[in-house]
Amino acid sequence: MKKQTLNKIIIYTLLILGGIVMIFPFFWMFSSAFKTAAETASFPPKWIPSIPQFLNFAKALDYAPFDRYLINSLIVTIANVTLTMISTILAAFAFSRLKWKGRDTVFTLMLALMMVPFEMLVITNFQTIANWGLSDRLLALIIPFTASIFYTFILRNFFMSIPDSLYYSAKIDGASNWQYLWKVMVPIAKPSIITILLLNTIVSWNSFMWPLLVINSRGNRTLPLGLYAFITEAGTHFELLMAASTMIVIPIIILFLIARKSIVNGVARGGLKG
Amino acid sequence: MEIILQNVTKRFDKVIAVNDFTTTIEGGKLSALLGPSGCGKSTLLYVLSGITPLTSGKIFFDNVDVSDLEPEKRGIGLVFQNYALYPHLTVKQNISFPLQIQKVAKEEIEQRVSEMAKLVHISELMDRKPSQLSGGQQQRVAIARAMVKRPRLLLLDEPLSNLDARLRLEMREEIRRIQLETKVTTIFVTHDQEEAMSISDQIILMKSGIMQQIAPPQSMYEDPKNVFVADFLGNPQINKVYGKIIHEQFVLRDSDTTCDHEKFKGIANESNVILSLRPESIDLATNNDMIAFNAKIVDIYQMGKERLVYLAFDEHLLRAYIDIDHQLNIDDIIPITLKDRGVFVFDESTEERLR
Repeated sequence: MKKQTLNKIIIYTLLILGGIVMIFPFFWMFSSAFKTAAETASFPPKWIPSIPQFLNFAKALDYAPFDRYLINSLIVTIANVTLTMISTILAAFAFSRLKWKGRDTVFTLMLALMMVPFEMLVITNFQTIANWGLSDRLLALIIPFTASIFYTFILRNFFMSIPDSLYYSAKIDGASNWQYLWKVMVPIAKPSIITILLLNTIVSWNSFMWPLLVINSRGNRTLPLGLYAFITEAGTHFELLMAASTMIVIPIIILFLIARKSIVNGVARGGLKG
Repeated sequence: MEIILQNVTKRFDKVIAVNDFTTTIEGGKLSALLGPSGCGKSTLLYVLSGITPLTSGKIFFDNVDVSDLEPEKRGIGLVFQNYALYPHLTVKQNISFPLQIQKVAKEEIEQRVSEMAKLVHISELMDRKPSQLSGGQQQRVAIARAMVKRPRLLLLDEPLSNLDARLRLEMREEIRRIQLETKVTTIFVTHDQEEAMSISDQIILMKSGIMQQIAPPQSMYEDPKNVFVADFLGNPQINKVYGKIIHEQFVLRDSDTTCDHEKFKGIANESNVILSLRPESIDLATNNDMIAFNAKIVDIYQMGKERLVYLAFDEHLLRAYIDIDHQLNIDDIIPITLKDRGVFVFDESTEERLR
């Protein structure tokens, strides 16, 4: 009995410490967003601002066109996620249900491509985009990210686990391949699809390196880029930087809170299966 | 709808699953496609459905050649062994699915689906998901979904194999009832001879892809074409002894024990034959009965209304149902008579029936 309580105390202490380590940066960003310039630099550090400075947010928005960045981010993310989802579903169907010569060989080759690190692709992608005259345009952020081997792989595996008899049953019921895909397979694969959707949204929303390379003009910046530029633009205004960061992080946090169960489920299931 | 199969053959690489199948299946009847596992009966069913393409031969539905027709254009309903219900749809949506694909008007769907639900007794389960149903209920939904299209032909792949023993009895009578009420031509696959015997109008018996016999159950039981058919039907299994006909008398192989019966008359001298005896054809000889042979009682199993007796006929053990009225004791040697029914003589090399 005593030993158990001791164990519990140790476990909880460790978990609490871990939790603090994880939460602290967020807390610091959040509290700093409401501080005055003097408070951010004060020593010893001030945990809670004495008077919350709501004006910081307005000032941050004055310094840089965050509304423009937000719209750009939304356009890019929505386009990426929608197009990737469509191509992933169609490819997963072709690689699981349809029978064609060399299917599995082609798929293995595609899996092998996952070994190529993103940094290697950056050069060729950059060249392609430049040749197409798309540099410094939002399309440059969309076109290279309309397909994903990894998501296709996840969804294909899920599709493979759907029994053949459902397919034949639907065939006899008069459904075409297209109808079968959208009316039977996709609804059954909903948990997988939602997971892919969420992961893709987060990756796309936070994407930083590629946009930094191809986007130059201020009007085409996405939020992470805008924030990065803000570091120089806002100079030493640490509290404004934190206010801007808070505004950018909030949508993702809300999304996570809403879809927390699906994300955890999807990742846990993928892990168990893999 | 009458189904005609002409030299239907299906080959998978080197294996011939269905071999040169020619037969006519009467319309409006319940037919059982029976055979041991791996005999190609399911393959034949999927060939009929169009899911598995033919290697060669032709299939006619009411004189129309459907050999190359897509499954969805054949007007068939198919119930899979695992039912293949759409897991994300409710019972009602499952049954409606084929009609929605066919773009049938909403009111008509509503009406036909509830009609079907009534027929298979699942009206109160309409809003459940398949995972919330028992095996028997899923089976009913699968039948309803196959039938709602008003198919000309209903195909059932081992419809009872996933059910427990009691449900199996119940569902096989249900299938019979539904077939009788709708008069739809139905073919179901089974490896269970008792199942096939009990509900079908006719049995198509297969072995290694080759059709053995097509006949109504009782006449197949009483009039088997060859050794395999005689062996496959009946429980307990038919007794089988090898021997020779010498002067119209059956002589056991490697022995001089003989057996007498009317049926041996006219069979050529010295023919090698297989004598098959149904357990119920073996009886104690009384008064004027012709004595076939004498046998020693080895074991007696009293099973309520009947009595299974193990008899030693030379070195062979025979199973026999002997009338309960006779007083029998183990180790008695009794005279045996053979009835006319259930006594078959087959040629040993061709395995075809002689008598």
